Amino acid sequence: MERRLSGMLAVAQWVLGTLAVLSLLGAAAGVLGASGTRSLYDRHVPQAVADQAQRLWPQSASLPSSPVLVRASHWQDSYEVFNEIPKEGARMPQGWAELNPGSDDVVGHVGLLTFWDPGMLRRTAWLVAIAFIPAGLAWLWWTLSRMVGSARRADPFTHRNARRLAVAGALVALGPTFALLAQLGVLRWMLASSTAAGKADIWFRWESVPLWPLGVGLALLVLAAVWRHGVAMREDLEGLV
Amino acid sequence: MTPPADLLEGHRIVCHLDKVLADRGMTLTELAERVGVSIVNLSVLKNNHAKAVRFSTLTAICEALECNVGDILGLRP
Repeated sequence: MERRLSGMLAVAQWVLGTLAVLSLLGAAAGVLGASGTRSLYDRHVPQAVADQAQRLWPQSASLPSSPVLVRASHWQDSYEVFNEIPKEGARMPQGWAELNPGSDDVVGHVGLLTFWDPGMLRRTAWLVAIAFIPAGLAWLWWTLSRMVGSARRADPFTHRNARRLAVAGALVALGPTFALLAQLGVLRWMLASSTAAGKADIWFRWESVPLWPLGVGLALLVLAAVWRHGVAMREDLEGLV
Repeated sequence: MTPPADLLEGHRIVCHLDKVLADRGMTLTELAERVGVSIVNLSVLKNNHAKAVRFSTLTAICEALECNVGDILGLRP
């Protein structure tokens, strides 16, 4: 029975370790991939090149983009006017942002704004913001893997594991909201320095904050408190004859 | 300066089990069999490494050695 349990724990530790590595690779892919640091060099991207890039790398859709409310003074702008499309042969304006759908029709009230040239600093901030979740997940899986490892060594009830659970709970509870607000902050920063500045606004709805991680995180925090109590009880019993 | 071990443990209780066993000519293994407590746990008690003792364990030891609690445990000055 004990051997079977040890085997199951070994499998669980291996699966969690693999998930940690995969999450880390996901974070790295987000930062180093086609829509990551490579796009840092995509300054003044001509539309044709941008279209080609999106065809070649569908994940380019993860270029910084956000739903925006177009200000009333620009409701009647055409695609070319709003997006400040230069004349044939001219360079794209610095900080170019494109309001989709990208037709010749009147832009309207709401659209999706894509930041093609947010600049190195803002782009880096965006990459950090989008890498936060997979990097946090990698840490979470790795931590759980180490906890399972301590169970395999028949020593799971330790202060270190209680602390790990508490940190994991706080991360799960607040991480997604933090990531969302960080991305929002970076997007607003990009908007302020883009060609769409003063023409559109990014809005935020609290309903978009996911609630289930908060519940799971709080459950982990409660578990951490129970764990800490268990550790204290174990310490009391140690040396009892 | 590091405080003495007994202060770290927070008590001054000392166990005289080895002396009582010697007086009775009994081994720790024999006592373990009579009392029904593992030899490891009795060794912990004998070597003053125990932090707490169950009343049931004390009762069993006293019965097996035909002595009182004061013969086994004392208070270090």
